[in-house]
Amino acid sequence: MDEAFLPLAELLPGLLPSLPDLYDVDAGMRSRVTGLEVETPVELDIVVDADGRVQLGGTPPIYHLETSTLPVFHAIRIVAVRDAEEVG
Amino acid sequence: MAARALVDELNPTGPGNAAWRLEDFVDSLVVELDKTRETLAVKAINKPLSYSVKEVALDVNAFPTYDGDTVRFTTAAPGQEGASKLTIQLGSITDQQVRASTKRREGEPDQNLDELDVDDATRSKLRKIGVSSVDDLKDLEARKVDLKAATGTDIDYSSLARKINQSRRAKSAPAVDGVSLSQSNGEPCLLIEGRNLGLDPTFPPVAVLNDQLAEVLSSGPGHLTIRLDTEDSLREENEVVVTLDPYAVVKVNVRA
Repeated sequence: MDEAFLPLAELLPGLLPSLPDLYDVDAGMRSRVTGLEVETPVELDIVVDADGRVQLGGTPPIYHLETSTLPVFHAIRIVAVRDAEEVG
Repeated sequence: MAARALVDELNPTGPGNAAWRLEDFVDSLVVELDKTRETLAVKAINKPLSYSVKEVALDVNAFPTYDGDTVRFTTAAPGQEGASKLTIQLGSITDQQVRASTKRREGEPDQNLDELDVDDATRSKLRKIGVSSVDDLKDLEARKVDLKAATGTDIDYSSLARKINQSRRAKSAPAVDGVSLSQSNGEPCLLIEGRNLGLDPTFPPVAVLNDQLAEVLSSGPGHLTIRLDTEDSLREENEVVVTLDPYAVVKVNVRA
């Protein structure tokens, strides 16, 4: 796989931010994230080995300059929910 | 990166951008998703906030091609227009849902169609109608599906069943470990011991001793007894041929 790309198993957890709970002691309020939905364009590196097995690599857009031939942007969406025992 | 893109553009089906089958792609995506879940589970041990992945969807720009047998996809390369968008959505599934949606099989494990001695064209036709195992075939037969009409070929259950049984028997081929003289209810008999001998309870083995039909007194996976008229029935050199079932015949030369 091209070294500029990550296996999806590394890319996907990286898309989920770890946000702490928000406290407002004065107002007596506490807010917490209960779910995340992240959708981003990605460049993909799809490698097929001799046995036909597919390896998937991805990365968010690498370059932020408009060029005459743009990379192909695919898209990935991940929906995550906070574990049940922590919500509540 | 630019060089790689140029190579892909010049040679879109080359090693840098080989065509892939959707099932291989999805297999890989499922593996990556499983690893993601494992990573998040480990992360949850150290971080107070833990999340579960509920859904992952991937939109891929690709060009489908059909070679007359299989549909494959070639990932769109930079500069290529008109690609199809393929959306693959994977949701979470619980153990309970897996159990509810999985075919329950009892007894011996299901036999994959790839293990059967059928020609590639037949295997391909069966796969196209969703048959990937011997049990799938049995289900169709039980529902009285006309295979000839469904596949547009001369495939029928009896010819397939023959091939299936042949293939199964080949996996448990008979082996003779030894032959000896014995007695059964006071009568002389020839005892053949081995493995995988009498496996089909619906088919009594048939024995021929020196070109004469001989009575099989008993049979089982590990033994077979053949009645001898007298103890002198045996010659110096004897040929015993036993048809164990329609797919297995053993020939043993016995020296008295």
